[in-house]
Amino acid sequence: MECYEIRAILFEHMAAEIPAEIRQEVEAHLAVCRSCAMLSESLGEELRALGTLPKLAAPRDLLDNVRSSLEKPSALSALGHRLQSLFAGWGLFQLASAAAVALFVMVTVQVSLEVALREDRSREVMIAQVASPPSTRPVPPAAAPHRAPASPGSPSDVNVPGEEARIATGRLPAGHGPLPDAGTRTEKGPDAASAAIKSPRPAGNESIVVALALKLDGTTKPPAPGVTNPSAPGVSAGVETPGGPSEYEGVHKPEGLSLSNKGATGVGGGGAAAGRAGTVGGARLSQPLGEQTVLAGITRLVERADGKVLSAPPAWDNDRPGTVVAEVPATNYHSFVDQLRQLGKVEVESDKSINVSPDANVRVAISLNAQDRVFAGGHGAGKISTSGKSSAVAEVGSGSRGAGSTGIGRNSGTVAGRGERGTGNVGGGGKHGGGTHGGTRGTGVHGRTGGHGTSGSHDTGAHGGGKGAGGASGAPGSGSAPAGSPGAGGSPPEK
Amino acid sequence: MKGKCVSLSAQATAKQEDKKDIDAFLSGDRTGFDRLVLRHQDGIYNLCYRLLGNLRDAEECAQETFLKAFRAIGGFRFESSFSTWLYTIAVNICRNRRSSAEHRFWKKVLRFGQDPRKEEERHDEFEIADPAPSPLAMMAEREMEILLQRAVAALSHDHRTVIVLRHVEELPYEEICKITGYNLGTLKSKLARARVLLHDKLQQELNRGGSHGML
Repeated sequence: MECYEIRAILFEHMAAEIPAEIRQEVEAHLAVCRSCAMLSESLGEELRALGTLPKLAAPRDLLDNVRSSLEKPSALSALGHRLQSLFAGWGLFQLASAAAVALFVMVTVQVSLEVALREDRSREVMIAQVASPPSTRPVPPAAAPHRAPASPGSPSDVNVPGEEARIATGRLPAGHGPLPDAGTRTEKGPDAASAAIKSPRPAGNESIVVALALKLDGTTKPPAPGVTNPSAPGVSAGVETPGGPSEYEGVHKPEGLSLSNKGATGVGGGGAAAGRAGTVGGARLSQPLGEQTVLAGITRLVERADGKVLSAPPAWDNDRPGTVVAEVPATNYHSFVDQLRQLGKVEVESDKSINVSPDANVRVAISLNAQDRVFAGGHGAGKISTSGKSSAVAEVGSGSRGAGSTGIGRNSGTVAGRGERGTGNVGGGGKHGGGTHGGTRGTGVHGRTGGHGTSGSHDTGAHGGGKGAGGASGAPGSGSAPAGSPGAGGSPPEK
Repeated sequence: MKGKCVSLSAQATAKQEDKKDIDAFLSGDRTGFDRLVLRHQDGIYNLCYRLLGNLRDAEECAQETFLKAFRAIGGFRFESSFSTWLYTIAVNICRNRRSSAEHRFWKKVLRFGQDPRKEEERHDEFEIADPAPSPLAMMAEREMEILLQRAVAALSHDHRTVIVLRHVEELPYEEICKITGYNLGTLKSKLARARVLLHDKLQQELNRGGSHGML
């Protein structure tokens, strides 16, 4: 073996970690090679020196230091303990605070839920009311004679029980409450399209309710008095008035001719209050066939707009104006209204304010009896007063002197019909007729709050102690409110 | 042969005592751990000192070793001896200490001047009881010890660890493998390389003139 080979295994040789035969070779080489032998001796001394390094005694306080370190809490645990001791005295306060916060959250959530539930409920009620077909309400026998005043000034009150309840539901009354003095107000049809609709809320797939008042234009004008034209939708056929045949154009605008009693009573006036087919001035106004034709037309338009008719009146007449409730997609709503205008004049509640979401449906309540009324006595007729921002369609009766019309109140709901220009049902207000509760400028149907119209001449406070209703034509109105003062004469209604 | 048997029996006795103290400590007897510390503190302290070359660091690391052992003793499975387990902890702590910024700082300081701690260490070292028969022989041994310590300190941590464990602590290969995690071949290779490096370092120190420049 060479020296480098021996030096490579010198340590193993010293440690006796090499086989015996190799060890013998190493020892033989070391015996003859002095340098390798000196190296081996040197390495052996070094390793032995390492082994003989003094064993240091550990510090005497090592165990104590370990103990103290073990007993000393760590920084994290010390912090936790400190925080715990800091808040120990605040335990009750913390509990109370947590309870207060929890209570507050619960109350807030509950109130929010109740409000939302209430809104939904009221909205459902209103929608249901709008969607419901007009009810056929029997006319009290006692009130029946008053519905068709034969002459101006004759009482035309209609006392319909349950009126207040209807008002309470937010729907404009169709029939009317007790009218002690019917001097100026004439009743008209019952619950027409008085749709009390709350402000629509665009939200997802919710339906938004819009009230329309359809007034058939000249195309629906009956060809001749007393002639029934089945092909003409909504054409009034014969017109019978107590005083004789009426002239269609005598008083009314062409577009005023409509399905119901329009014009029939107004012509020649004579003081007969319009509003009831066959009884008040306008005799048979709408023929069944015409109704069906109009309905079919509306239905076709609805279907064309990918909508559906939810309810349609089986028939309508002067007393019970029909309301068609349909539902069309919001995207087709405007086109639907445009097409509906081909049937006649459409008074649309200000739907511009409706911010409809694309996936929403618009529920449309189409009042087929929304038209001018003609009043007997030559006092002129009211007009459809459509105003307001929301929805309420206030059906307005026509008084013997006053001019009733259909007003679309500004607000709907329980205060429905409080239109800026809406005409009160019974109050027969003129251009500024009021709604159910009497508007700021209008006349209440029953005038709970009295009519405080801006044009006080024809404001009516039916029951509310307001001023007497003025005739639409400006004839002296008769105050009808029990507690009210006699009404003042009104000016001619706005056309 | 007889001495080896005595050593093995002593080791076996030590293991049994360790196990008994561990069980006592785990059963709630706090003095069990104290006995463990007292039994192993010198070996751990020596190992730390040989690995770090500093008494203060050795003390801190030894203390930290026992603290870690106290916290982790619940996971000790007796797969090795308790001393081997403690050595493993101590080696890791010393490795971390040597790589720490503080250690590097003091190492740099020691290169350029006197370190008061170094003087203290030397004083401590000289206080170690040494049965040297004569002052001259004692002085030669001290010089040799210092030279060896310097040479060992000049090695890398791995080489120093295997040298210390094998030739200072005189642990068997198997136990060193458990402590370092090396297999036997790797351990022997590292050990051979460490011996050569140690010899070279020692020759450099001798050529430089010894610990006080006298050699």
